[in-house]
Amino acid sequence: MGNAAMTVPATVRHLHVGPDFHAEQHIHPEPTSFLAKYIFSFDHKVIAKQFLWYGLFFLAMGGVMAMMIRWQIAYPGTAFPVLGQLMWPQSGGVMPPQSYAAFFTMHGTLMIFFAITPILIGAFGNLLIPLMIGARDMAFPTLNLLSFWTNVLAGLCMVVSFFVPMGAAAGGWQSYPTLSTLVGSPGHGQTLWVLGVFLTGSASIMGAVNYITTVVRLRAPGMGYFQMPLSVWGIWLTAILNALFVPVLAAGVLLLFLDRVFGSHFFLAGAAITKGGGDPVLYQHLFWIFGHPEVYILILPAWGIVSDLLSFFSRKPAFGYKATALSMSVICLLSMVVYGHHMFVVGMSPLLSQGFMTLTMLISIPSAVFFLNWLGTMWRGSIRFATPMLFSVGVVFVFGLGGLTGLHLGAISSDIYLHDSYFVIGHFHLTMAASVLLGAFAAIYFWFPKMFGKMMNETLGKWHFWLTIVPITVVFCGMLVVGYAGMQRRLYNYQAYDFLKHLHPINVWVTRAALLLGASQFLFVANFLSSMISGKKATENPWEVGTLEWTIPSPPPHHNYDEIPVVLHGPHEFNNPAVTGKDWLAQDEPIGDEPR
Amino acid sequence: MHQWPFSWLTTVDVSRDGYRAEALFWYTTLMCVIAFALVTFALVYSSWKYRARPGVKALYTHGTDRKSFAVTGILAALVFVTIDMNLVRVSQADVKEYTYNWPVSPDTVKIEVMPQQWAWNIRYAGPDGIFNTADDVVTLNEMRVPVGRPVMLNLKAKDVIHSFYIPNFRLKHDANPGYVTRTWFQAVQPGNFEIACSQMCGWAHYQMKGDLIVQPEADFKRWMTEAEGDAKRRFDPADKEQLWGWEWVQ
Repeated sequence: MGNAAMTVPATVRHLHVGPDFHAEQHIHPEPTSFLAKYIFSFDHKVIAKQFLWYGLFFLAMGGVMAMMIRWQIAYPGTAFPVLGQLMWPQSGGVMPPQSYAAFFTMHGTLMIFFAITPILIGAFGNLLIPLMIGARDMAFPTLNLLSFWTNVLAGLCMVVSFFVPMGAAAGGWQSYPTLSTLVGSPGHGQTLWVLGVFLTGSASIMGAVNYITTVVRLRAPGMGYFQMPLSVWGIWLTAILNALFVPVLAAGVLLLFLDRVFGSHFFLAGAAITKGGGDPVLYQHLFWIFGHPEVYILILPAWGIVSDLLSFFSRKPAFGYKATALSMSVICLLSMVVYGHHMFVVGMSPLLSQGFMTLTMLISIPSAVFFLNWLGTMWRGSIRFATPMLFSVGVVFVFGLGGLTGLHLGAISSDIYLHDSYFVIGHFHLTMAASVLLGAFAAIYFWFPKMFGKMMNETLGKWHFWLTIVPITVVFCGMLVVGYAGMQRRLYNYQAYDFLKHLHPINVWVTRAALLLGASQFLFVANFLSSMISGKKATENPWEVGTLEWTIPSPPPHHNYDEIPVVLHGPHEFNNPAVTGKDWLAQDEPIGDEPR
Repeated sequence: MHQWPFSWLTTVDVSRDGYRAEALFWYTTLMCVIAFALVTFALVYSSWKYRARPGVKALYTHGTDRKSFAVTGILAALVFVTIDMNLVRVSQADVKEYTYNWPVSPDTVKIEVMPQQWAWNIRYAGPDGIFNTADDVVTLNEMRVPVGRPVMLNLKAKDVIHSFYIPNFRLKHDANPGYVTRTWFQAVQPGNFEIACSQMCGWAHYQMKGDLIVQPEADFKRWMTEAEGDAKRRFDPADKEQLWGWEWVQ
């Protein structure tokens, strides 16, 4: 086995901005025992699959909870079919208000920290970073293993919390004190929530450190930052935000833990205490200092993946690649200084509110740039509408809706009316749920062949797309409508208010669409499972694209690359006139007599 | 009175300043609809026009030429100037003229509101004009205000965070335990409206409903005089719980 670095000609070596660390990546023998191979694995590809299963499990759980929440909104006082009878036999299957509160709290928590984060960051971060930058594994495989198993502990805290006396946390996914302290939430459910969030946050930080280091240190020779696929850019920026801001959340929930368990008063005030009060709003500051970057933490991997897939399936280089990468970076910077727009009605200093509003509006500029670049990529392309492409176009569509409705909430005077209404719910689900979910599906359909060595069924995939995009748009746009009409979030029975009663037909239709959306996910489950067992065998490069992971077998061998590749081109060299006989070019493939 | 699209959908705006939220909402919505229509058009048009066909190759460009930069830059700047800068301009004017422009005129109705799980405690200063004294008028879940006079609220929660929400006035504001926050509004027509809670405050959050009764000045005065008489009779100096009010925060 030759030292790859020694074969790099001088003309290429100057491109390589990192140190020649790749030379130190040894090939380890593949583990043979079941435990080492599938359970406590150090292999980033296995950990990626573990995260995928883990995330899909919680996605299903959070999804069922969403259906039950919608059922209660549209058909209050009736039992949810089958599951209702099992869960609440004492009330004839009708969900009691306490359970409703626990369900919307846990729906948000599970979807954000235990579904989206594991699927996009855990699974695809792990799978794609080493494969796409030409590395044999992550920089810290042990940390990677620890990150996954810490997440499992966190998930256990959440699952167990449903079964303790008084049930799971029920103070909203933000768990604002004083409601989330013993004043409003006695019982162990909320304490387990705090522990679970703290643990999953720790796991995220471990992952982030690993991802950042891997991207900085293990890029193959020739792969500068601007030769990286945009998927890696997105995941890398997410990791940076995670490393900077998850600790702030961890600090917040740790103080909450102290308040709950050791009787401290960081967030306690009001009638509950006689002297030495704290400040519940302090928690909101800590939460949103993390919380606003968090929305970008969740969406950036999807943005990156979509940016790549739009180019791959348009058979055209990503339009304005550098501008897209830099726009995503600028958004990361801006995300650090806008969090106050979540707090326009708490009674913050007017000057701060106005400053946060102005800074928030700046986000439009980079957002407009990469939106235009996405459209520019498709312009004059030769577009192949395979399932991953359909989902990518779907992301552009729903993220357009979600991003634009953020404007209403960024301006103080319209936000005051819309704050804590279903308009907010519609907006952030379009950005964080719909686009991220569609992005995750795009990624799964696209990289499934590389992960499992089999192709997914295209016909089922296309049905799945159309039966997802239509109801998902109806659901969340319906929420925007009732939100504008004034309906607050988190109401067990909104018909308690006279001014909301006339919204019933809209709410019923939103629920119907939500149930259809839930039902159509069975198409995905069926496709996923059957393809894994009996799908068509995948070739090395079924989509005919040039990024490094498609130059090795599907699935890749334990050590990924027999020889570390030498990168010569960017990730999107489609229809390069210098290439003949095919319309794509692998990143490490010389053109004609180009020196290797 | 202003007329807004889809007015059947939402509550009647009976406030002096609610039009600000509506005006900004509809301006933003209009701009969003235009922007989104353009994006959708580009998506659908490209998808159809540039679908893969035999013999037609995609254009080889990285979009890094001057023309592409210029187009992207101009469009992004256009979005920023026509949408964002306008939103900031209008909203800055709104907060300066209304939201943070707390009323100082002597005819201002001052009310202290202390929400708790799951009710609204409401307190008027009474004839002496000082809060937390024996002559205060105290009600539960019922707030009465006159038409045409500014109403200023001091909000402070008893137990957990609540949010005072009056949809007909396009207004909401949090009430936190521990310190006082302020907000204000002015009614332009009488009627009975709902007070809602918009911050999750426990399992019965949805039941935390109050009445906002807007009356003509004379009716309000009559009610207030009667209530002040009742207040003195009802006050029990031994019941310390009764004095939950605080010194007014202007």
